[in-house]
Amino acid sequence: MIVFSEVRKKYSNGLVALNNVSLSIPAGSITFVTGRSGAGKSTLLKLIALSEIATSGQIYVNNQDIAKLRGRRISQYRRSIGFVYQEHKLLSDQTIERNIALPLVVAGMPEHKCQKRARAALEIVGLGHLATSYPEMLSVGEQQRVGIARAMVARPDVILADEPTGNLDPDLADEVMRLFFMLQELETTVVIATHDLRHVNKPAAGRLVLEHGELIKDASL
Amino acid sequence: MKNRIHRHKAAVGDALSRFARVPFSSSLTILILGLAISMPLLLYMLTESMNRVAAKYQYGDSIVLFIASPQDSGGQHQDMEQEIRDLMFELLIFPRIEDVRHIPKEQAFAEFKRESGLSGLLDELPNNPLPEIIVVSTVSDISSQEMQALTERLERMPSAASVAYDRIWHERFEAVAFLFQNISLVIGSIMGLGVLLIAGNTVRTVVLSRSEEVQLLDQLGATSLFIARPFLYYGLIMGIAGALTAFVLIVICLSAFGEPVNRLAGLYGSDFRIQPFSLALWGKVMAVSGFMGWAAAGLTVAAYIRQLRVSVSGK
Repeated sequence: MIVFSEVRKKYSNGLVALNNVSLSIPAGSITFVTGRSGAGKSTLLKLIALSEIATSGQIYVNNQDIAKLRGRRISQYRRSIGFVYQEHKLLSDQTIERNIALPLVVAGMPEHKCQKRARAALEIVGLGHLATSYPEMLSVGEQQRVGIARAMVARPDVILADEPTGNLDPDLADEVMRLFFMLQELETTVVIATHDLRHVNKPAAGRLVLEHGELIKDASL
Repeated sequence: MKNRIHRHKAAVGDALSRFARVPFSSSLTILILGLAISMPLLLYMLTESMNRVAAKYQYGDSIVLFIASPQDSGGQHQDMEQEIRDLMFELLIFPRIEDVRHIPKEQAFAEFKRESGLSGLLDELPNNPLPEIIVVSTVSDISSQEMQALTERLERMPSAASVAYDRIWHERFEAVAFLFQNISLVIGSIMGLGVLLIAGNTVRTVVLSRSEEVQLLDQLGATSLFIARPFLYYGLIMGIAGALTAFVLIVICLSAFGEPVNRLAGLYGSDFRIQPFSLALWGKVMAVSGFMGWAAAGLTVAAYIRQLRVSVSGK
């Protein structure tokens, strides 16, 4: 479960990205965070991922106040989060399989297991045949699926996705969304920041709407 | 364990691939490092060679003690030979004296006549003006301070007319060697700092060129050590490669200047020779250089990661 309690995030340039946001996202749910550009969607995800630190307020993930984590515990926490970036963030000098295996390598998993798990994740996203290819050889849609495979390969408790369908045509976007719903069925908490409203009204999904850093609608499950 | 070895192998492979990707700039950096390392080493080599010469002369250190003649001492005529024997026995008890040898004044006079070429003139003298001589040989590792103290002690002896040894030359040589030693130490320290800065700056460039990867790894939960490992190996390899380059440069210098210097020294009657380094010392140079590259990389990456995490926290 993810809980925000009066969370405020103000950047050093004075911009208030989130203002006194309180919310609760149940474990094992899929939740869409919507809103216009600059509404604070990405900041919300970054705060959960501990890529950013809240200026005030508390964020609890699985009952732990993540602002109190220090040193190696931050690294450990981050390993329990999978992040899907809009711009994919794949390493161009590594094969697709190595890219997907990165979270496992970072966690110190033996090499043969990394390889096995990375292959399995690739099969799930339908790219098993591209294991030895390099990112630049893949289409944008394929790269996004690789990003999803990398986020799920370590079987994290939470998967965060920032505009995962932003660069995709509708068919590919549907396919990517299908993958997220599949992950949610596996009891993973999925939080997706998007302005693609075609998927957000599904009954199985929760919805949070942000505007100018404030939560204006909370329809979480 | 196997997994850990694999991680290290992967990090070494990653570091090597960085060199291979930019061969020209990598070679240039290593060459600069080699130059920075070779300069203090050349000075050190020169100092060591001088010290060896100094040590060699030290081995032959001796003090010449001229014995006062009975007239000089103002006393009654004594049995000179007995007095010299007693004196030699007394000297052998002194610390730092290894041997004493008596040169009778007749023998000294004969040698002087032979070597000076003035035998005709000297034969005209009514008597032998030379004193009895005792040559005092010291132990090989005697310092110049000990030598001076011993000389002063000998000078104070009642039978001593005067005492001589080539102290000035010895002290001058030691002073020059000391100066070179200090210069090589100072230049070595400056160059060491240079190595640290060159390696640090190069690693910084590599880190910045891979900033996205570093940020991604940090976000994926990699520890600082995991992120730093390939860079640490990069610095280590760069340091060792710099030391190897310095080795090549010094070999080139030795082959170019070593023989002419040795020949010149020979013409001046000196057995001064530029001594090449031992393998053990080269091992130490490589270890120190590698460590400095490693340390520079560690400091650079640590600073970058710290900066990255501070900017994340918005401080």
